[in-house]
Order: sequence, then structure tokens, then C-alpha cells
Amino acid sequence: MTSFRIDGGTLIDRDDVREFTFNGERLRGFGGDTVASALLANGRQLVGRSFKYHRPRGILTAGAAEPNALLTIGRDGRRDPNTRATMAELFDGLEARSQNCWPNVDFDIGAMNGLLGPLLGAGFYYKTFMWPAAFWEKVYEPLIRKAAGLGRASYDPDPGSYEKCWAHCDVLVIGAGPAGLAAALTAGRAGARVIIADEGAQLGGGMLAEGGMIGNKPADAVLADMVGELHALPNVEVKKRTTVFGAYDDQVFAAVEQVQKHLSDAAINPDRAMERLWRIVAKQVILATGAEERPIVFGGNDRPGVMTAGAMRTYLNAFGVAPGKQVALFANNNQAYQTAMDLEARGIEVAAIIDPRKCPDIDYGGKARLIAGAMVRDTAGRKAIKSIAVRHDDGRDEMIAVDALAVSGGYSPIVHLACHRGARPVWSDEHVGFMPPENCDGMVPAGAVAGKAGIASCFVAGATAAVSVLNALGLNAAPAGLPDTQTADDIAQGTVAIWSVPSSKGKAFVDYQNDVTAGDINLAMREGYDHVELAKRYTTNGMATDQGKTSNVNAIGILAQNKGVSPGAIGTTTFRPFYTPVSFGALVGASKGFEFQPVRKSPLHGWAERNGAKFVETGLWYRSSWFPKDGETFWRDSVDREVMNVRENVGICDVSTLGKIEIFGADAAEFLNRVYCNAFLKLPVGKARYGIMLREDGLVYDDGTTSCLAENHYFMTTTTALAAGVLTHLEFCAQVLWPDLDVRLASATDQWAQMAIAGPRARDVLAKIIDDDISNDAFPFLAARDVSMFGGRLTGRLFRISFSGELAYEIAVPAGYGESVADAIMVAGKEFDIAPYGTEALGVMRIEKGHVTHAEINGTVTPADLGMGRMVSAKKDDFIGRVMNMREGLVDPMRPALVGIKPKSLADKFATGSHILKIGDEVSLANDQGYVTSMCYSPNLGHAIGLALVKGGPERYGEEVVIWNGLAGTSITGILCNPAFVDPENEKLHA
Amino acid sequence: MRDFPLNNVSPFATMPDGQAHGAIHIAPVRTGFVFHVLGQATGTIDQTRQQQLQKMMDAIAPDLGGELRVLSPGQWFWVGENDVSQGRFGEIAGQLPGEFALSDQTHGRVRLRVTGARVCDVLAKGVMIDLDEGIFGVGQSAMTQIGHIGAMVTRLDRDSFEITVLRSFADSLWHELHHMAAEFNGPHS
Repeated sequence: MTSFRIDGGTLIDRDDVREFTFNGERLRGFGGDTVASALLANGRQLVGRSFKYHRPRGILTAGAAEPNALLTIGRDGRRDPNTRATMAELFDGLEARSQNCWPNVDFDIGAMNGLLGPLLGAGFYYKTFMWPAAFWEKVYEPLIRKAAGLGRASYDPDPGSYEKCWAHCDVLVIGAGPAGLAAALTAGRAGARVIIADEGAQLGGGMLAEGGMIGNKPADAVLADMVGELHALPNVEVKKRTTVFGAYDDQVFAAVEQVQKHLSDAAINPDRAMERLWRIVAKQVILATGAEERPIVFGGNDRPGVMTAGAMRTYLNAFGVAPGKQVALFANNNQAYQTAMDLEARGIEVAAIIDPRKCPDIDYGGKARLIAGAMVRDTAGRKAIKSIAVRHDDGRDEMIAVDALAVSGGYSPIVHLACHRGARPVWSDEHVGFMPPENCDGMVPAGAVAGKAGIASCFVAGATAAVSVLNALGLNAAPAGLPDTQTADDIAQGTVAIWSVPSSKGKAFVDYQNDVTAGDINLAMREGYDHVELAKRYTTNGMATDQGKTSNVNAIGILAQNKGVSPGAIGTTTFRPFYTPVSFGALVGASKGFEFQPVRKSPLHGWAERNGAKFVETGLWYRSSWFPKDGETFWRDSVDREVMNVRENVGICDVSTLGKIEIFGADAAEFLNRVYCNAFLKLPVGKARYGIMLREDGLVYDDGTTSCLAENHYFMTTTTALAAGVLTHLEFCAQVLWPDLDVRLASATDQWAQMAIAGPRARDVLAKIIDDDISNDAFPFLAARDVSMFGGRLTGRLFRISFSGELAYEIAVPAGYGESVADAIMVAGKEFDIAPYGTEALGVMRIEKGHVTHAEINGTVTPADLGMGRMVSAKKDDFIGRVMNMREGLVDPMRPALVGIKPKSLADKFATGSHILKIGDEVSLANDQGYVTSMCYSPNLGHAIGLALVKGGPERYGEEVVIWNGLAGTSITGILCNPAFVDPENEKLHA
Repeated sequence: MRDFPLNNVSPFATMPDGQAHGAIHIAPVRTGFVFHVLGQATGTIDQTRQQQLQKMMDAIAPDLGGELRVLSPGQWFWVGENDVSQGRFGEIAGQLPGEFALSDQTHGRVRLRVTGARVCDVLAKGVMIDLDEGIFGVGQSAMTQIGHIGAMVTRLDRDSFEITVLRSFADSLWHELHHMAAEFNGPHS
């Protein structure tokens, strides 16, 4: 190890040596290190380059707010760009690379951008790329796109799995610093169900950086006791490495847990998720998220070696890493002096403490020289800080040689979650920061987020907050006995606002990640973008992965200072989820690949597979599409054969996916009469009827048949696509529109395996397995009733209905028996050359017959448009859609209406979606006559046929038109005709 | 053809009865009945009404046994372990008073059981309801979702749940549950 690794370090295990690479260089760290602490321990202050100017950047923080040290970690599918080195745990074999630099981080050609700095100020691309206009698309945009973004995502699939979980608790404690721990202990001891979540690998928050004593015990021992007790409580769930990133309505909080991302490849369990997205439902919430230490805006404040005072203390005490050999502290508050004390206690020279306050109210007993009333004006150094320029209160400048500078500009409470639901934070002059909203909407802030400083007061605040939420839950509780904090320090911060150092000459950065300087904020103001939301967007301050955690308040302070108002008058930008970046993997969870969505399988799926079906996804369903036979290499070979076989012999088709709804109740008939536009009140027992449902706007919603199986018992079928939608619609009608009607609805889609048996020999086949008389007299068209099958061993529901236009039945049997019955039908039909047919053949036959599906029922048509206007009852008092269906626009005779269409030259083909034009008309919207809704090749007719919605509809049978396909750039001559290409007299249906 | 062999095929026909060595045991239920009892919606879950209905069921079909599981206000699944013929179902449906209707869902709703000490952790990966035993006790049921699949979850015991799902989703749910349980059952667990 290097001389930067010193004794101590409560988080690291020196027996656990871990090797890793940084930009290809092999380095070593310890178990417990973060990548940032390991890099610092190896003397690597320069870790990356800034976004715009490619300036050398080091490590600014020790936590989630890090704007600089964004690295690409891992390789291939496990490569994660923009990973905060301060949050990434070191594992053996880790590969880390700097971003935004070429050829390397030490020598980056992009740094030449720095020379163009005067041209690259805020809003430069709004002003610069104005002309010539032709350059925009060809030159400027590609250049800007190439320069945009940080890091590169992997093109390789992520081999890890992800998942989403739900959790419930009485009390959710967000943050496991001293306030959070005290709150969780108090609530846990009281018996509440507690979840405590913290983004860190270890619980403790600010306590992890404590190097001293709490009461009479070392801080790390106190912490270990508290954490140990929490783990021992069965009603407390401890979630480490878990960032609560969003607060949503109804007390639902989203959190992402790093389950295995911190492990080496060898240690990863492939059966566990890499990350877990939690949805946590909490009755009460304690917000113990702490406060973010602010940098100070002065010249060269981004030079590697400059870091926040708290971060420096963390690296020192928790990781045993010295930030440098000669360190200075620039701070406007008392709390930061702890860093100087700890540095000196470790034997590191503190060259000076520069405090802008003329008379800081603190009794600093260290050796460091205190320069009061002064400020750091600038820094010097090429790739790391070498010296600082201090401006004394008398105007005198002094150069001080340092290799690290700790800065502290005060503390910003981490109020994000308290504001995600719309509340605004409140400015506090006392705390020089934005505090949580007064009404935190179900959250109780505790600890540093509420302006407390020091472990003692945070313990008390956490315990007190827990008591208040426990009382709200009806639990009597008192603050749990907490560690002896009488001797613990409870510092009054005494912060004095310093938004920027006025005498700075170098670039003074407000937002490190976006290279936004104080000058940029000032420029935005001068150009009129002085509203905080406008200034953000004009300068990009507060954007990108860190969302301005270290920059927003300073930017607001500068705006306020320039306008001569309080930062409270400027206000903040809007806080929105996510608090920190969340991987797409976590958001997607398990829904990828085969698990992208559930699959629904028909009860005849196995039967179809055994018969060689090719399946097609229809929503979630897998439907058998066609059944190729030996020698059939093209889908049309199979489909044409299946169609012809049905027309000439008999076929069997799985129609189980159609929606099926059982309707019970004394008022079921009246109910149906109101939801369908045609009459249903007098549908007799044993009969089916085709029905059309309208929407309230008078347009067709869905169609299907409904059969009366018994008095007060009906069986409705819907289209596959709208099975759930229709049931929802009916439930709404029953519960909301007509609660007085006695109607009950049950989905029965999955209960029945349903098969269409179609073709001239359909009756012959079914008669072999159905015991009842199904002759045309005994079971005529639209008959529907239960039938005995297989000698009384099974009861099925038989419907004499036809979608193909052939003599056809649909037989429904309990789903478990579906495969056996289908097998039986195949055996029974063998002598009649039965063959299975799929949805493609079904589609061809329904077009040949002129039957509509949702290709035609597309949300724009009325029953009249579909040639079924006479079905709409004129006698019924009311039904859904009645009034609106009579609107002027919906009864216009020139509305597009259903027609058949065929090519004039029978060898021609056309496509669905083609538009219809009059012969000789120019192609224009004004001349558009309609469009083709469905098209197929009819093996019966030997040419292409289609259905179309055309202005004037049936009035134009026989008219020659142009079928124009704009996509393919083709047009042919077609003839409009009756849509019933096959059996227009319906003789087959009644055979 | 009248004597053609008829087999009642479960969607879990090819699924094993569970991993004997796994910490989480997932097993299909291949027998029994599921009847959907439809009463008038009252807007609330009425325990008294349910108790009356249970007594009525016991009187009408004492041979069936089984229990009522709340599906929604005024609706229940009547679930039991005995197989019930179509004819017997018809008899039972015919004896119910008019205020109730009965729909046979035995083939449409299939069941499986998930058991093991970490079963709540497994189900929390897909189920949004609070499965804490103090909230969702033994004998309680809820219509909910497992991932994207709608299902009824019933607590049979402290560490045992029965899941009732639409038959068409059975295959997907089976695989999803195994995926969810993998970290407890897999070779690396």
C-alpha cells in the first residue's frame, strides 16, 4: 500500500486484500473499501474529466451526491457506466475506467475545449449553431450528439437477473445515521413492524466517520451495539445498500437494493437477483436522510484534491486514507472543524483553516493556523491541487502550499423525498438551507434533515420522532434508552452564507457534473433567465445523474445574492423521483425475455401442438395459426388447403380464446337488452343471437353471440381481444348504471374448451359423439343448449353458429376434457377427411363470407356502416349508445360503409390499408374514398379479395376504383362488390 | 365413438409434484372443485352472510366439504378437495335459493400450493398485499396479482399458501413461481 493508507479505518478489513484495475493499471485495496477510497489510498486524485471542458477531476464527496468521480465499472454485459466511485464497493477483480477522456485521463485531447471556454458559456449552442441553416442537420446536430452524454452503455445483454418486491411495515425509517438508528430502535422495541433502509453498505451514516468517543465508548462500538440490536429484533427488517429513491401517493415508497452488484463474478449466485426494486407500503415514515455538505464556489474549486470536509473525514476515519500530507480547510461553519481536529489527531499537517467569519465562535484547540475573515480565492496545480490563494479581509493575498483542501459551505438537508409529492421546501436563515416542508405529508423528518447537528441531538431527534409516529399508530412508547451522549459533541453550526467568492479569477464551479460556473449563472441572469427553473435549463445546472445535489442551493444562493433577495424568495426547482439513478434492469425486473409477459395457453394448446400447429401471439394468448402438413413449406400452402377442406369436407378449429361470460339473475334479459343495441328481451331458452354492443358514443364496441341456456341464465361470447374489456363494461353497467337490476356476471373463458366444427360434414362428425338429435330440424341454425356426449359421460354446450359461413357448430366442453374431445372429433371425422384449421384459415373464410372483426370494428364505425343498421332497435326505450348513434354525423349516407373489393385483373394483389380513390382522381386526402380493412387470397375464388370501408358503401357495388398503396408505391384497379363472396344467400348456414 | 376414452387433463399434467430437496415446495393440486358463488353485491364483505351461506352449502352438499373463499363483495369461490361430476354440480346449483347463482369453475381455475419457511419472501416478489400473519391470517383469501397474473391467494398455514389462477395462465405462473423461488431452491442456494 501507499503512504496514503494510514492506520485505522473502521470499515476496512486489512486481511482481505482485493485487487482491481483502474484504467488498466493493477491496484490493491481492502474489503470494505469503496472504489473511491481505494483510489485515494493508491494516491489517485485524478479519476476523470469533466463533461464540457474536460477538466481534470478528482473525488469530491464520499457518498451518493458525487458529481465528479463517475466511472465505468465492469465489462461486457456487467458494464455499468456513470457509477459513482464513492458508492461502488470494491470487489476482487473489479475493472474501473475513467470516462469522457481520450486517449486517457492523464492526457485528454478534449481538454482543448478549455481553451474555447469563453465560447462555451451557458446557452452557447442556442446562440452558436444558428447558421448556415443547412449545417444544422448535417454538421451541428451530429457533433452535439457525439459530444452529449457521459459513459457508454453496454451492447451486450446483462447476464444478471433483476426482480421487484413488495414490503409492508408500520414504520419506515429512511436513513440509518444516528437519527434513523435511534428511531428504528425506539419503534422496534415498541413492537412495531419496522423497515430501516440505508443506501450504504453499512448502517451508521454520519457515525461511520466518527473517529472519537460517544459517551465512554468508541463510536464504532456504539454503532455496532445499535446495529446488533436492530438485527436481533424479529420485527425489524434491515435493508442495507437500499436507496429509497421515490415517495409516491398512499405512502408507497420505491427503493432499489443492490443485492449482488457489489460482488465479484465468482461470488455471484446466478439464482439471485443482482438488484431488487422494492415497493414499500408504510403506515408511518421517519425521514432521517441527513444533510449534504455544500462545496464553496471559488476559482479552481474543482481541482483534484479539493473535497468536502465531511468526505475527507470519512476517508480518514472509516477507510484509513489520508487525503494528503499538507491539508487546508476552508469552511464557513463550526462542524467542519471536526475534520481539522481528526486530521491533526492522525498526524496530518493542517496548514491553515480559512474561515470567512471574522470571529468564528469555536474553541479550536488544534495546532493549525486559523485565518479568520478570509476566503480561498483560487487554487493552483495542473492535475492536482498544489497551492491555494487566500484573500485576507484586508485585501491581501497569500499563497499556501497544500496537496488537499477540505471545503465546507454549510449543509443542505436532503429533503427530496419530502418534496416528491409536490410539497416545497422552506428556506431557513438559521440553518442557511432549505428545510423539509412544514407538512411533510405523512413523513416525520428527524436529525440532520431537520437541521440537527451532532450525534447527541440526532439520537434524541430520532427517538422523539419515533415516539410521535408510534403514538399515531396507537402504540404507547417512550424514547428507547440510547447510548450515553452526555459527553458527545452537539455543535452549533454557526453557518454564515457564502455563495461564491467574489475575488476569484479562475473558473468557479457551481455544478461540477455539468461544468456550470458562477459566471454561467450570472450570464443567465443578465440574459433574462433569472427564474430558478429557467436558469436551470439555460445553464444545465442541477441536471444529469447527480441532479444538483451539491450545486442547486449554491446556484439559488447566487441568484438570490444577485437579485438582493433571500434564497427563499428564489425557491427551488421541482423535486421529482428518482433521488439517485436507478438501473433499467431494476425497473424492468423479471419482465424480460421469455418472462416479458405472461403467456395464456388454450386448453387445446397441447392438442394443437400434437397436430403440428404453428402458433401466433394474440395479446397474451398463443393461438394455433395453421397446421402444416408434410410438403407444405409456405404458410399459404397450409391455409389454402385448410380453407378448401372446410368448404368441401369438414374442419376443426380451436376457438377457446373467445371471451365467455355467464350471466345470471332475474333481470338478466333486461340487462342484455340494455347493453346490446338489438333486441334480447325475448330470446327464448335454447337459442343464440348475434348481438352488437355500442359504446356511449354510438359507435360499435364489440360483437358476439349470447345464448339463453335457461331462464335467468345466459352465456355470452365476446371477441378474444375484448374479453376482459367487455366483462369490465358489464360489471360497470350492473354496479353503477343499473344497480337495481338483479344481474350477476362470471367470467367463464377458461372453464370451457371450445371448438368450431365447420363444413358440409360437420353434423355427420358431431353426430358420432353427441347423443342428442342434432338434425337441422332438432337443432336448427342459432340453436344453443347443453347436450349429452359420449353416452352420457360428458355434457357439452352446443351452439349452431358459424363464423366461416359454412354449416357449423361450436361445441364447448369442460376445459380438462378439451384435448380428449378434440381427439375424438378427429377420429370421428377421419372418414370425412376432417383436418384442423387455424386462425389464418378462419380469417380467410370470414372475409369470404363478409363477416367483420376488429379490423372493421375499429372504433370508428356504426352498425349501419357495417351493413347492420337494421339490427339497431327502434322499439327499445333505451340501450347504451342509442342517442349518440342517431347523431347527424353518424347517419350520414356518405359515411364509409362496408363493401367487398376485388381486383379487376384477377392476378393483381393489394394490401390491407390501401386507400380507395375514384378512377382518374389525384392522390389526395380530399379525394380519399376509404380504405381496405381486410384482405386475403381466396382459394375458393382463386384471387385476392378484401373488405373495405368506402364512402357510400353498398350504393357503389360494381364501381371500378383505384386501390392505392402509398407505402409500396403501387395502384391497381379494383371493383367494389357485395362483401359476401361466398354463399350470399346463407344457404349453407341453414343446411 | 361413444366409448372413446375421455381424460381430464390438468394444465399441470407434466409438472412434477414439487422439489423434495428445495426450501420452497411448489406443488399442483390436480383434484377437487372450484365453484363460483354469486350473490347480490352488497358493497362490503359480510361475514354473517358468509356463515349463513356456508351452512346452506353444508346442508345442500354435505358430501362435498370445502370452504368458502371471499372473491369480492357478494361473491365467493367454494373450493374443496373432492371431485364433483357435472351432474352433481347441476343438482347443487338447482337447490340453491334464487339469491345465489353457481358457476362451475373447476376447469377454469386451477390451484397450486407453495410451502416453505421463506414462502412469504418468495410471494413478495409478485404479490402486493401484506402477507404478515397478523394481517393475512390462516384461512384468509385475497384476489390479487402475482407479477402480471391475476390470482387468488389463500393462506393455508403459517408457511403455506394456495394460489388459484385462471387455467390459461397456469403454465406461466408455474414457471414464474419457480423463478421467484430460485434463490431458495437453486443449486447455488
